[in-house]
Amino acid sequence: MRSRIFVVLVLLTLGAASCGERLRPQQEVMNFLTATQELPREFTYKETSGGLTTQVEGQFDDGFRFSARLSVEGAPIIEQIFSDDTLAVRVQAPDRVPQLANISPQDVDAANSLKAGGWVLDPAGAPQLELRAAEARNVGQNPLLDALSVFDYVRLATEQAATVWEFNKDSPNYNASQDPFPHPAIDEGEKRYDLIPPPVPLFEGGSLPGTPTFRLLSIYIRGGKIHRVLEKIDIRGHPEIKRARRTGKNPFLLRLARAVLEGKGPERVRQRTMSLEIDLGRNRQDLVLPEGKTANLRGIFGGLQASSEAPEVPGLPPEVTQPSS
Amino acid sequence: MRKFGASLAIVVLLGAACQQSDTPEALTTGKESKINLPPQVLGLAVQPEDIDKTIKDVDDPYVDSFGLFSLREGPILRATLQVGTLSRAARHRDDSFKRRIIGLIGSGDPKKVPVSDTAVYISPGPDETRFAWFENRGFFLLTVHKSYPFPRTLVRRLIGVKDKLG
Repeated sequence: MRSRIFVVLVLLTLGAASCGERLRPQQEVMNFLTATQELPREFTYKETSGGLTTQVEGQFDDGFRFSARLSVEGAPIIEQIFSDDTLAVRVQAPDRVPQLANISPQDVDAANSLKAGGWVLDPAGAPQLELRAAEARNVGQNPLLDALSVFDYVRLATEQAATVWEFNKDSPNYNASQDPFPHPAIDEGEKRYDLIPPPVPLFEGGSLPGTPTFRLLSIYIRGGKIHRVLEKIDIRGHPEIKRARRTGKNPFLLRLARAVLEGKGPERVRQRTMSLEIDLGRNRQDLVLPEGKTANLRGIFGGLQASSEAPEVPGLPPEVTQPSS
Repeated sequence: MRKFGASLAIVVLLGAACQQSDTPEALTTGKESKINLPPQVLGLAVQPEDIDKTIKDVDDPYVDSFGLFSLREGPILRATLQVGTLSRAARHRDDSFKRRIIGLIGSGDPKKVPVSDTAVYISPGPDETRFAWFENRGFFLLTVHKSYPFPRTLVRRLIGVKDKLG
């Protein structure tokens, strides 16, 4: 009897220890996110999905002053500067900005100014002070918004992960063949934290898995701050799906993968690679509003809501005010 | 803590009352407060509201003084600014204390946003947006009506006012 109690006690102790191990890096990542997202910085956010690469370069001075420049396949599309309540916009590719199509008569002048390629400023054009949770919209519909809210996205991904591990190539948990990301430069003081996805269901009966199951995401830390985030969301590349395809021994998994690819799960899983590079360099210049024509931009950039019908590369919708990137 | 909440609630309630009041020229409130603001901020007339009678009976260990200011564009009330000077009993450097106060200002979890070097907590409501921040022993709660087009600029200007607490 005593030995049984002892065994149970040991198991409980080990369980508690492993829980401690599991929670600690997750909380560390949250702390790194908090420590980094309030700092002035420059950033480059890049996403490749469905063969299309979009990139957003930007600057964050503080929560009311930031900028973002969108390019698609290397071609500049649109540039926006938020300075308190002022919105400044410059459009380089009018035909790629859906807000400039089907404009109402009162916005014709402003739209023409934008199409001419110069800066257009609206002193009260910054979006309404609405706050929207990252999960309340679909990633990929608005790259500018994705880039500006990426810290919220990573925070949510961290919460959704089964666990978080600090990178250790010698750990028995580490599998180099399933690691798509570069190792951290440990000799330079760099650390890496990996989000470990929830397992894919192996048997019939459960609900279809969502994005977290197919997401690999690593966060690179230097000096206690995040300087890089890499993500890969891949359904067919999931180790269990690959094994099922190779061996043909688990038709359930192949059906599951097909259903997820067809969007039959709780959410549409957007397969993509994403990278975020952050520069906290102190040589950064403060944002300065450019000279330009003054116009009311709210009719053009104030009404777009994220929806399944939203175009692939829209400008910024109204809910963006406090970027997390 | 609960008493601070009660005091704050009184001041929040006064935001509605100030719409009808006749206000003096002085830029500091009565003997209950030690808050100094310029007569105009971003073109809005800053006027102290008389809240002495209302807070006379409030015995709050965390607050030394209160001030309530209206910010008007002509006759239109655009915003109110409530200022509390925290007492020595208040742990004004303690993040958990700050968060408990911030938790009182609106529904949901206010979003923390850096503005210049100050952490501003934003709580949007259906008709107004609330911005709260701490400066030394001062707690500031700015309530801006949604029709006002320059809320962020107003926050930054107010944060930039030096020596607000005298």
